[in-house]
Amino acid sequence: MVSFIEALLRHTLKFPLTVTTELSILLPLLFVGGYKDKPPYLRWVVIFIGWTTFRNLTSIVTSSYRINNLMLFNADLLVRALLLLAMFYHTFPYTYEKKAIVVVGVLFTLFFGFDFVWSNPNLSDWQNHRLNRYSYVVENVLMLTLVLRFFLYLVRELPVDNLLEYPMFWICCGLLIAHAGSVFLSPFIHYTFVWNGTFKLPVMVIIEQCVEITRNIGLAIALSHARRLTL
Amino acid sequence: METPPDSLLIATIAMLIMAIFIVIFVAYYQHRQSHHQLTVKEMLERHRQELMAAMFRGQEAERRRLAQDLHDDIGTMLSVAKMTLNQLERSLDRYSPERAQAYKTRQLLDDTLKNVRRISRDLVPTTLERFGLLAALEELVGNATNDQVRVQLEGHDSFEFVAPSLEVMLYRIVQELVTNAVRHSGASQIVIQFFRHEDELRVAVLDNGRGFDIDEVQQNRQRGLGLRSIESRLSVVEGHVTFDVAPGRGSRVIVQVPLENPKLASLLI
Repeated sequence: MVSFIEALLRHTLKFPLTVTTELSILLPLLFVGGYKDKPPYLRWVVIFIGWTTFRNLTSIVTSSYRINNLMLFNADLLVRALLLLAMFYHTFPYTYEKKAIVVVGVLFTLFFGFDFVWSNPNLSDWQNHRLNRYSYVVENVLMLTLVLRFFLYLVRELPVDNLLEYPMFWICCGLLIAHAGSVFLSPFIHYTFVWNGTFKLPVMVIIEQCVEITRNIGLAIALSHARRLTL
Repeated sequence: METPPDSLLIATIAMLIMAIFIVIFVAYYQHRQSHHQLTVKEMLERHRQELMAAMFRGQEAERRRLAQDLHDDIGTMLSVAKMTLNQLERSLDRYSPERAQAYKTRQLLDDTLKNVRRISRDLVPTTLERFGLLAALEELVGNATNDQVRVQLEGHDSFEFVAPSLEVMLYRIVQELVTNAVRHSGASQIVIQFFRHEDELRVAVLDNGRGFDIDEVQQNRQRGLGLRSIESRLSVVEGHVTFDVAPGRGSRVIVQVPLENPKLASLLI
């Protein structure tokens, strides 16, 4: 037990911003609850937050013990993309958009599988496991496209009177900033991120982590507004 | 150690600035559009109120014309006919059957003349125009009271708050409610109360009749016409009507009219 706490502390002191970023997902968790009669997309947001919390806490623990967790990050890519697609599925009003999201979800899953095997020809070699080559870029572009499409819907059809009290607006703000901040970084992580590898770009890492904190703050604001929301 | 190019940092910062700009733009544009939509909605509501007010003004003008025609033309002709019949009656033998026939006809003419005067008075309450709302309502109360039903008017002090532009509207509403109570409720007592509550005038019409099912009446086109007319009149001055009614007990209808809204009240003039 003592060694576990020691390992956590050592890791926290060594990477304080990384740990802070990962723990920032606890912020929206404070506002989770009471969504029985709320729009269905909020359930997917809550599942997304739950999954991200699990991933972040697992990441902190495994990193503290220097256990290879790149597989977890690869799995996270697919899970979060599908959860966010499910959220957008329930947000967009038109059937053709919903159908398109289902098709995109299936295609993305197939592409992810292909990319996963291509990036890691020897799946049993955990020490040299790599993050997926193209899936991160595709996910970023996909999310940016969906957020922009949703913003277009907001300004064209004015479905809400006060945008600042609309949860989906804050979720999309967080997602837009998070994915805009990492879209150019994604192509590089495949080449730089192998287990025990280092990535010499501290400013980029800081930006990456700041945008993730921003996304989590966006989620927290969204959930705080969601409590007052009516269907 | 891997070192990605500096352009990556610049591109990322540019992308972030763009993202923030998009968020601000969406928030601003949506706010502006919502504001614009609200303005249009208000204009449409104002236009609807003006149309409604014009309709009621037209209705009143038409009633006045009809009342005048009834009184001046038909009333005069009936009076002349009565006088002629009087002369004819006098020229006939006292015990002849023709004289009895003429007498009967004169009685019928008398009744018709009374009805014409009553209809004319109902169409345009001259007392309202000459002496104001209080006198008109007292007259209404007097006319409605009979052996079966007693009508009372309370709150004489509140009449000083009623703007002249609202008088016709309030008179018509009370007239409708009292008529409904007399005709349909079987009440033995009807009370009309006027009182001021904060910035609004409240008119309550209470009766001890059999009550009615408001949903059923509102769904019925024919029966709900009077109630809808009350709601339409009140919508012009942003007033409200509350029906506290149910079958088997007396009803309580409360009309609320804002006093501090001269702009809307002026529509009725």
